[in-house]
Amino acid sequence: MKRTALFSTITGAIAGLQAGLTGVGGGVFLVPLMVGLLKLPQYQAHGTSLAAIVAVAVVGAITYAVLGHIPGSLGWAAIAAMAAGAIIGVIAGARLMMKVPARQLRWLFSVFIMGLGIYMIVT
Amino acid sequence: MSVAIGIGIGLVAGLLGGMLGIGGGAILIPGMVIFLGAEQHTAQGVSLLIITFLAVVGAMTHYRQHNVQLDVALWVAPAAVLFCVTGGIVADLLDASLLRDVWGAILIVVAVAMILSGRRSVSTQ
Repeated sequence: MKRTALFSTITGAIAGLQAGLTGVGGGVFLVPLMVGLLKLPQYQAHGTSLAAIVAVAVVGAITYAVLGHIPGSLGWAAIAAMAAGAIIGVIAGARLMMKVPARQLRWLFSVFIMGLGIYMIVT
Repeated sequence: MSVAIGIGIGLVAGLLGGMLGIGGGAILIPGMVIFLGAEQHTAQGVSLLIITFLAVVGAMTHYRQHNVQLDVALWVAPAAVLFCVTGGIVADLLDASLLRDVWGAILIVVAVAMILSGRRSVSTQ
């Protein structure tokens, strides 16, 4: 239990810091750490990651709002449109996940993160 | 026009987020900066707002598919929340171009970690 508490805290701290600093959910850290450190099966790591992100995103959004960054230069119409698109997309994505074998899901995840890293270096 | 672009950005972020178990901020933030002309701090804040909706619906969908270990999520949440607030405050003190550099550096670290761990076997149960 001590191990679980320690590893969970480490996982949360790394993902939370990244989420707050960069405005993402923290899943790029949560998924690998849940698989590697907390020994969750691949599918469950992806599902559990999103559940943890709920808490991170709520608090993160409030922090950014208090600091005056929401809605900033964006209109609420565009924000609502993104939210609507995201909700439809995430239901489809979560269902689609079950059709992808775990090994390929992990491969897909790695490729996505790699592409992202390269994109950030180039731009 | 920004509504149509917004729906498109949201759809892609949601699809990848749901499948990969991430928030989708990696799509949302560049999408807002490039296609909607958002300032970096704004994009990051709004990204977290969109992710709130995305993660609630995504987690519920995964929960119904028995892919959420709620106790693990609850163990991870306290430190995550605490450090998220810390990160948000630190980000507020940094300028936008430095934020992009921080973002890029973090992603490179993750990419390398993923390549190294990808050689290990995958649990599929």
